[in-house]
Amino acid sequence: MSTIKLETSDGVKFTVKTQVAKCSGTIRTMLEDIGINPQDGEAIPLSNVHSTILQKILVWAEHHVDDPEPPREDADAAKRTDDICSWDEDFLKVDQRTLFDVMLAANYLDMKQLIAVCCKTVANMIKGKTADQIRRTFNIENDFPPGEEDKIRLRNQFCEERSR
Amino acid sequence: MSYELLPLEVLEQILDNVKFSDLQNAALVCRQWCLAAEVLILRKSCLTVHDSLGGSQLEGLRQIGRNHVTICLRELNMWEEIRPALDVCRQKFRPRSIRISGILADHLNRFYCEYRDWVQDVEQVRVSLDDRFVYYFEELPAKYVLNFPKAKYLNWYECLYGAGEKTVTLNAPNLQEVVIDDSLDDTSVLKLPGCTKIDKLNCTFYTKKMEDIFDSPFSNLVQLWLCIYNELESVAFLDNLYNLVKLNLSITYSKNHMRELSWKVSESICKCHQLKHLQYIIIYDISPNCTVNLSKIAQNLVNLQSLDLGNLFIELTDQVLRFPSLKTMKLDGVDFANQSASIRLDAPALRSLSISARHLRRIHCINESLLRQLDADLETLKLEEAFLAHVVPFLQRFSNVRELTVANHNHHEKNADDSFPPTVHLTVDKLCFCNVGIRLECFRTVAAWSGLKELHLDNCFIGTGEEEESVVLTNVRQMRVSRVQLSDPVSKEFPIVLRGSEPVPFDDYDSEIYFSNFERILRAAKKVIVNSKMRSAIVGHRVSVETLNVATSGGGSVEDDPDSTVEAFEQSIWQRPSRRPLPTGGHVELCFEIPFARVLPSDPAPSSDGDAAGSSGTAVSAAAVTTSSTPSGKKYVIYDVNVRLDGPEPDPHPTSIERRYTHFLRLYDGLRKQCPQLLQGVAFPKKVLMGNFSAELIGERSAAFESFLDYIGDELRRACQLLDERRNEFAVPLLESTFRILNKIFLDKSKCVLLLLCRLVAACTTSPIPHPESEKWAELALRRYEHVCDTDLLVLYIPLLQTCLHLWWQRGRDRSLLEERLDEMGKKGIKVKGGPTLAQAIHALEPRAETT
Repeated sequence: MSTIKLETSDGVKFTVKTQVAKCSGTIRTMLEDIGINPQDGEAIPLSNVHSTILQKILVWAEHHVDDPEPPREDADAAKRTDDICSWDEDFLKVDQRTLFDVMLAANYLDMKQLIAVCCKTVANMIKGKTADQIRRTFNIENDFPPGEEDKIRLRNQFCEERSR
Repeated sequence: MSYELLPLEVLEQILDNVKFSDLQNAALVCRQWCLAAEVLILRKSCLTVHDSLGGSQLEGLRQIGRNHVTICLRELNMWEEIRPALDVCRQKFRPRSIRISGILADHLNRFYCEYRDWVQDVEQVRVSLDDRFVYYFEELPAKYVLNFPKAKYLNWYECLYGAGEKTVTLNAPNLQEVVIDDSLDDTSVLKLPGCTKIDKLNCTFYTKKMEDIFDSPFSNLVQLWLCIYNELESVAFLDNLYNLVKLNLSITYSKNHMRELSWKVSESICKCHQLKHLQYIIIYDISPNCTVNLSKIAQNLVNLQSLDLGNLFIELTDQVLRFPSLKTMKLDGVDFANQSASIRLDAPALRSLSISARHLRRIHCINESLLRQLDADLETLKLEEAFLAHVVPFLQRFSNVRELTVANHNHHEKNADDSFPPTVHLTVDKLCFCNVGIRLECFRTVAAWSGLKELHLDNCFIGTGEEEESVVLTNVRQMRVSRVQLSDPVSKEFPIVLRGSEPVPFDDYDSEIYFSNFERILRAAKKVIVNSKMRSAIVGHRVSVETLNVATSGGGSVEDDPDSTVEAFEQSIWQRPSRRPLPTGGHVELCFEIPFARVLPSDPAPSSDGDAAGSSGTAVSAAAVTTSSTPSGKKYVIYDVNVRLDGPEPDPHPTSIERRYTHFLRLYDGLRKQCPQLLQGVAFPKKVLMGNFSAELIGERSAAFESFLDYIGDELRRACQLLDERRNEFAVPLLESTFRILNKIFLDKSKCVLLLLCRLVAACTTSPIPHPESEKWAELALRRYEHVCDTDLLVLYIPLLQTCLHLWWQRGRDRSLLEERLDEMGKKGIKVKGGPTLAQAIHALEPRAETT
């Protein structure tokens, strides 16, 4: 089985099965379109990903490497967030910092399924919370200039969810 | 890091998963979140204007910077009051879709006349006429003409009770998709002339007629969904639908023309050669005059994938019906003109069949059938007859059926006397009862069906009779119950349970008790199966060597997989018959008890692939009963050790750890070396294995004690490992139980106890959302620290206070006491700000990887 090397931002080198690495759209493009030849033994630099996070992501990729392509979702269809498989649910039981880093890295590596499942996990943390509760949950600072919140409320009061 | 710094595209994807109300809250979190929410709000919302907008709201409307393309107008009664808002909208927005609701045709017309230039180019028109809340009428003409030349989509809903009284003509020749929902008010008339481009039409009629609304043929129609409650007199609209792929007809005929019209409909349907989905149902009762020729359908509609005929008399020839693509066939409420008729099918793709139980004998497949789902309607049959005479013989012929539904489709059975004999044994995976009244004893029969994994009970009535003991479905993994009642009207205990699962919750409607578990499907606990062999060999809490050998040498690999057959596990658990009595005489005793033990494979199968496991089930069960061990994997026994401080009252916080036989053996060996005289009378494992380590034994801090702590160390190491992996959720329960054990052995304020408590608080509070127990542990830690003077431990106090301060803030609690305490410390010259976090402080005391 062919392998390639990946080098993280902190200089750690990983040897990964090519098939697993190709879960990342970014790496796939590098290999297939740009024509980087991994047989040279040269590691592909992943300058935005730390080794601890890459390690975690590789565990995910290894588990999901044989997943079939997901069906195309209707953009207007109501999204489900209760369909996270239990393996992923366990996998994402991490602290916020790690979840955040995994999301950033998955975004950089273009791993659609991993991003989707992370987003659902975060969405589940948002559900039913007020803006203030959301800020507390994620330690977000309220950076609105004075009066801005009222303006947002004012313009959103006319918005109703559109039924199809 | 912070979640406000997430890239917009990621934030958008997160917010795309939440409800609209959550989206509006998310917009108020911070600027970045607002940007992300804005896009989604625009996409998912419509701008709604109604006649009670005040002055400040109008100002708000003027300030909207985004371009809404969907405008919704509600209640146009108070014309003068809504006009200012409409004028603002006319200046600001170019709508592509207009929705008008809660009005009469008069209002619609006036709006159209005044704002024609603004709305006539919209692509989508949605009108909902409603005379229930309208209190403002005007005498206006009886006929209106509205032009929407570019409209492609029309939704026309009526909720009128006599105030319709108008004829509305919509000139919209480019309509492609039309939905019409009629009301009982026949004074309201709609006309859609010249609509030749419609490809999807969905109509529900009570008084309207197809031929009154449309004046042109539907030669482009691809999907037609018609539900017509008024008696049809003409079916000409079904002519020439050559492109139709999907047809749903729920209709009823006028009595005088039934035979002739139903014949014509059959003929028309058979000309729709492209049809893939056909549903044809007669509303109301079945009549021998309403017929459909199934043989002709098979000859003409070769592309059919689903066929649903209801309340019709079926005519058949002797020929085999060839349906190369048919996947589902529903023949609910049908009958046959010829009583000896049989349906001989050549339908290799057929997977699902629904038909009355008494017609099952008519169904034959000329080749091997892969039919998987069967839905049998009882009609007037009793369960016993339905099973013995129809269902069981059918399942013998169609051996691939795995999902069986037994239902009363037309009425809800309120008599729970019905039952089927215990000799019925089916090999289905999934069983559903729907609208059935059934005796509880039947579920004792069902419990013995070894293949059954899933049970659904919908709207059923269960007769519990004299029986008091509930039925345990040992094999079933999932149970869904919805609106099930018991014959015992006051019982709040559902008499059917899965092993290891919580009971089905109930609701009380008007003092009628209904059981439902809609919200969460009950799942059986994995691996918990009672071993009859072990139970009989064990008396009380004594475990004999022979028994252990039976359990440990039972070779073969057993997969821990939710979908493999359960028989394999049938013999793998020993459960303690009863709890040990509390000590008498008022003294407190440290008590170790083994409530149950279970056999596990040494290498739990990581597979989560249900299908693969299901097919390998039989092989697994065969391997499990052989006693020769295989090299691939040995089974072992896991004992749950319950540790309690029992006094006159039972310990409110019993703790559990898991240990293997070898652990006990090692403990025993260790003990025998160090304290041979104490252990002289203890034979291992013939005598008492775990039961009566007396308090004195422990109190002397003997080797047993130390050795036992070693095991606790194991647990702690595992918890820390989980912390290293940042999986606090898993680490917390381990830390909790370790803490309780340590706390039973050491003093409340001993260093190891407090250190562990702080570790627990740290683990709880660094989770994504503070652990539900975090406040409890934090409070306990604060209390314990009140009078601590060990300088080593004081290092943790400030970080602990800071952690609690943050937690209190998160939970919205009063922080003044904590702040006071920090102030006090500050005055004593202790640095209270900018110090290490609790986790870092613990790390400094006792380095572990979790804080690096």
